[in-house]
Amino acid sequence: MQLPISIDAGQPATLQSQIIGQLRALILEKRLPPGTAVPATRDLAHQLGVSRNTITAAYESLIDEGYLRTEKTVGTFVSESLPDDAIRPASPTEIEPRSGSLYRALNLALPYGSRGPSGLHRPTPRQIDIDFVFGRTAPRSFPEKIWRRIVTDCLGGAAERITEYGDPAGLPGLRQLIASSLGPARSMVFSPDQVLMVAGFQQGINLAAHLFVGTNTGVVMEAPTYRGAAFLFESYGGRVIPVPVDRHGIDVSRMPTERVKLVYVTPSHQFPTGTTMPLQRRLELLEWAAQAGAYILEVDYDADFRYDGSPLPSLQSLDRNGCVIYLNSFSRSIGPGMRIGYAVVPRDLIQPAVTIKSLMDNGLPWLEQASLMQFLREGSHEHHLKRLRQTYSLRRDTLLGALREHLPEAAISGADAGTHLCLQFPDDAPTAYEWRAAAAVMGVGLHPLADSACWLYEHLPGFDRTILMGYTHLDEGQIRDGVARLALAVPAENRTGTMTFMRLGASSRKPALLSSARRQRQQENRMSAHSSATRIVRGACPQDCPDTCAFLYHVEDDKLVEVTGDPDHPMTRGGLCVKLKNFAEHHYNPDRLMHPMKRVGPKGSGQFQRISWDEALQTIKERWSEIIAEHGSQAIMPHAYLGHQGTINGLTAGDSFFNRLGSTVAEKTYCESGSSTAWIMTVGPTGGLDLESLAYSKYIIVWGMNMLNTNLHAWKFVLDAKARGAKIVVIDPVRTRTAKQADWHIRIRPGTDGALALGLMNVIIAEGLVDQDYVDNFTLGYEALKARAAEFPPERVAELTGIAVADILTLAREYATTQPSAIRQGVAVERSPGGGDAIRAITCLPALVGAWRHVGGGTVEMPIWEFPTDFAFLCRPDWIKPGTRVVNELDLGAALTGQMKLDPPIQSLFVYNSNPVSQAPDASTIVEGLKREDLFTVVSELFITDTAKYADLLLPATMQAEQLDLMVTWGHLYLMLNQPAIEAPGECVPNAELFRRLAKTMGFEDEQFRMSDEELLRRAYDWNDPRLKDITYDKLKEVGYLRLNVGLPHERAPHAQGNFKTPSGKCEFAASAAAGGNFVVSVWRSGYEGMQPGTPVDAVPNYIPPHETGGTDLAQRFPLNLVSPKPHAFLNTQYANETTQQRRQGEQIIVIHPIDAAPRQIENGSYVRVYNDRGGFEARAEISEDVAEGLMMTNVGHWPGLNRSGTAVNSTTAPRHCNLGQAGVFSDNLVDVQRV
Amino acid sequence: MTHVVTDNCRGCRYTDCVASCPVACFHANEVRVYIDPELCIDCSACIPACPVHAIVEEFDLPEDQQHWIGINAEAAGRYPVIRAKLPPLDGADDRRQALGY
Repeated sequence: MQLPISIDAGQPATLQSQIIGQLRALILEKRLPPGTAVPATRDLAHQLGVSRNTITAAYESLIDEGYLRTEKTVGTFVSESLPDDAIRPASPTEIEPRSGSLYRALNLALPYGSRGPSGLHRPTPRQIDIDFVFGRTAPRSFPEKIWRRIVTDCLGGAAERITEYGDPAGLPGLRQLIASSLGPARSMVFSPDQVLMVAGFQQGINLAAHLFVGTNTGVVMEAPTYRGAAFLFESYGGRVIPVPVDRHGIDVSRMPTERVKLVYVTPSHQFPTGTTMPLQRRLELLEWAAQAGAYILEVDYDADFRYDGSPLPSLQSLDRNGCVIYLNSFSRSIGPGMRIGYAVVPRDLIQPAVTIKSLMDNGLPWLEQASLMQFLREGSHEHHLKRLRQTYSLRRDTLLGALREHLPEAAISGADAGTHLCLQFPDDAPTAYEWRAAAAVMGVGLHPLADSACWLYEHLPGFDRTILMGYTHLDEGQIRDGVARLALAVPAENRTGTMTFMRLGASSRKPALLSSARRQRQQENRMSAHSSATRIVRGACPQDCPDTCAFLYHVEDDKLVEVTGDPDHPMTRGGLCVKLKNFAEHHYNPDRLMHPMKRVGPKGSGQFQRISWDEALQTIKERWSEIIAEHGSQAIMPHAYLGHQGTINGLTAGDSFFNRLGSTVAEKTYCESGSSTAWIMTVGPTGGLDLESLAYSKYIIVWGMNMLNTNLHAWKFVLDAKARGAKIVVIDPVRTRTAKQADWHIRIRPGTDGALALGLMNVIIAEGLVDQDYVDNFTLGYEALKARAAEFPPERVAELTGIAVADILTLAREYATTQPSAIRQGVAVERSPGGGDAIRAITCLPALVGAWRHVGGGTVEMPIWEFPTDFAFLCRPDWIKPGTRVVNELDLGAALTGQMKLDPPIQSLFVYNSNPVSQAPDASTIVEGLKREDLFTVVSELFITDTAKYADLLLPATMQAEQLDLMVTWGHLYLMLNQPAIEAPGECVPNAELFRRLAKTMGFEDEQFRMSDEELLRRAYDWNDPRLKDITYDKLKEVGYLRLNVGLPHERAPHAQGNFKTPSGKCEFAASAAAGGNFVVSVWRSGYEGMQPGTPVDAVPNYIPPHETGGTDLAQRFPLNLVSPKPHAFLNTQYANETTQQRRQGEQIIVIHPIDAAPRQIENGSYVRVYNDRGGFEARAEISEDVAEGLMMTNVGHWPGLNRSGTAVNSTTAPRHCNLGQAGVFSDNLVDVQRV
Repeated sequence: MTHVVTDNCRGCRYTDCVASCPVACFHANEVRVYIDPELCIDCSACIPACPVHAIVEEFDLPEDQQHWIGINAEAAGRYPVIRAKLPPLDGADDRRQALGY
């Protein structure tokens, strides 16, 4: 051996000492491990060009020291036991990760790690003993004895062959045989020089890709297709153009018109559907290729195994234009581990193909080729194939029989040939993933189509109910046993549905429904406690929640006994939530307001006396007439939000009335307004990504939402995606229960989401991960956005957000390259000064990476914009006198107390659908205002809440089972009718009726105020809008809910081709609306377009830091940031007065990090006071690392009057606004905390 | 707050509950299922689904059944999650009758 020693005569040290030093170092560094032989002295002397004596002396020195030992006549070795002081642990040189991006260096179009395994290596997990996996051959069928003999024979002549390079096209004799015997067997005529031996199909495809595919080369592929091929083409920069298959294979009528170079087809046994391309279609394809000037890559999978009918002539044999590259392989007939196949190329491609092949690998290994040649030559292959065909045919029959017996409802395709078939279950059966899970419990391996090395599977209708079954490697007993176990795993009553045949190329299907049997059983279970005289009425949930569940009211003898979720609604799926659990009983809560009341004690004492409606209305008329005469109608101000979310009883219930009255316009921006403005500015009033489509995403970011708490019903779609291999990321300052279910929880400092979004853009742009084609065609202002993003390198963003640089890089890369990628935005992001622009930035991200192209790609915030509601009619902004002032509801305290200079001052407040004393910021100021003796306050309510306590008049409202409305939803795309199930109790009225009465009282004769509930609802929607096609009010009365016509979840991709609802039609990175300054979307301000805030808005989104927590002096006095998200068992303040819900929710808790608790002597369970300059509240402390150091969390929604201190968190929150839409800044709140 | 699976499940393991759960918080072994209290969101969809009424909301548990809270919590850590319904165990219907349902 040669030692890595070099000596330098120019050095002061002697040659001998240099040699000793270097040898010693080699030994100490373990590069010469103990026991290694060192060279003979003569050899080392020769190597180094020194005298032998020098080496001998060096060795002797090291022997003395104990590093070497010598064995007479054998040699010199490194000692096994080195000198004590020589034992140094090996210190491999630290390899510094290179700065700069791996992805910049690699010449891959897309990194593939996050898309899942691309190849066919699929080891079986231990607990599976019968695996219906694709791609294996039966070990027992392998001709072991024959093969061993052949290999041994071949080795006899190995010496000549292995010592030289072979023909890169492959062993000539083998190619000769293929041309002379395998070719004719398939009626193919070609000469040996057209044959190239390749390492299986994969290398054959690689060869074709290398020849034809460059950046942006179009390659047509069957859809669905083999993933390994699709990714391979893309890795060369190619663009896969999917063309769906029908019963006869690739649908030639749907070929693209653009120029393509290559078409990839699997005509013998389509992968994965298994269909065989009939002669007619083959001819059509060839004709198309000739005209288009394209080459066809004929990948002849499974050609050897045809069970029904005779094999069809290959495309290659039918081709007259020399445009077919034919591939075949011995993977199926001998085994995929062999890695041998062959390509037959047209004459004029021989030269380039052989050249590329030799550049690739200089030819396949000789031994395998030689053995194969022998195998063919002696006729063993022929014989082996015959036997295999018999065996496989038997196995196929066994499988078909077993399937027919045990799973008759499943449709089968691809059984007439090949080594796999496709099994498709009916629409209302469990999904392929559920089958896989159930099968795994029984030890059976099943592989959903989407997880079987397929790609473009979404082009197959019913793909999520399709399983790819490989079976030829299993014996008959295993096949029968396996299928029988499947039938046990999912019993028949859960598999119902009509027999559906694989409708390849069929049009859209209905959303999945529960089987009628399952539904029946659920109903029975629920109703088991009740008599059979139950009447069921369809309704929908009234709450401010994106899920808007479909209700079933159970009424017995005119009493509401239960409210359950409709099992057939795709979102509701038969379950409601913890908040609605005792909804029926809630209607009978003894504390309900039943009659109008007037105040008899001091303001806020809660002392009231019952009066009649007449007296109440008369009082209102008198007081308002006085106020209007003295101060003008603007002295009256409503205060309303989403205590109810209906079309006529909800947000805009009183708008037409108050606009007619001429009151101050109240700007309703508690929640969502900032997000609305941001969204409209960027993408326009589009619904965006349907939450149901999340099931098709491969990368889901839940940004600022605790979905398990506040969007529960959409979580199923996230779980579906996860089952298909999607990665779920949650971005949240707190480790919520949703974050705990994510694959990756990213903790972010509250109020810095804009910085993170811009940072992601920075990385995406810098690393060339932008979908430039999408950006160029469908967005506006890329250059400006790019310049902005350049200001936010990862290091800066890390400082601002508290997120590690590595995480920012990974998130950006994964998000950009794992398509379809989706962002589910939460409203929480807006609750900080920079929140509006943060949402703009987040909303820009999908267009930057082309996510909108795909089903399941894009972003969603509030799809409400898809509903064609006639707000002009509901709100009547045309009744607003020009110049009418606007007062924001979050500024209520300042407005009532005179802190805000208002002329005329507010003299009367009318509250409905809202509870500002509990929910609005700066509660202390609000209470101060409400205590004014000269403020005439009317509150419409269900209970005497903390706000209602300050009323002069109370008006009783109905609950949901007692009123008619079309529910507004902001989380799905179904129009939901709520029909009354029981009579309104006492003298309660729905809001629509309340305002009819008020209008009459004030002498308003307009027709609007004489319309009935149903008339209002019929008028409130544009039924001629295409989105409401086939949806009528009468139909809704029958079925309760219908989905808008905006595309079904598995096919909706509203912005695949741009079509944004902005003025430009593009996604506006640079928003044209920015020029007009800040605005609140008119639905949040009674339809009023005038008197908008108009504060300057940056053309492209920017990062605006939090106010309080952005390092101000305030932080000295109040070092802790407090966020106040929604509670689990209440919906805002609703149900917080129910003892059952209070038990479920618990008392007011403040979650605090151990590091913050310790110096304050706060322990788990201690009672503490949380406070700042604005006020404070008491709560029980819970120590947890779910929050970060410096961050505390408490829930909003507890009634202040039921809390220890009589106050709640909103005593501490600031009445400031975020930069867009006048939303609140609830998360930008500094406090301190101490034990009480 | 959580829901707990009590004794009636043992020997039946109908798993209708699993099909109804929106957050996949059920864990199963060879004889019964358990609910992960960390993940349960108290929606109660599972309660009416169970043919043998084995599931109870935590604070509805009688005094002598309180131990099920701890059992479910511990077992959830030990056994795998199931997301799809399984066939009931042999004898499930007998047990159901014996329990009076």
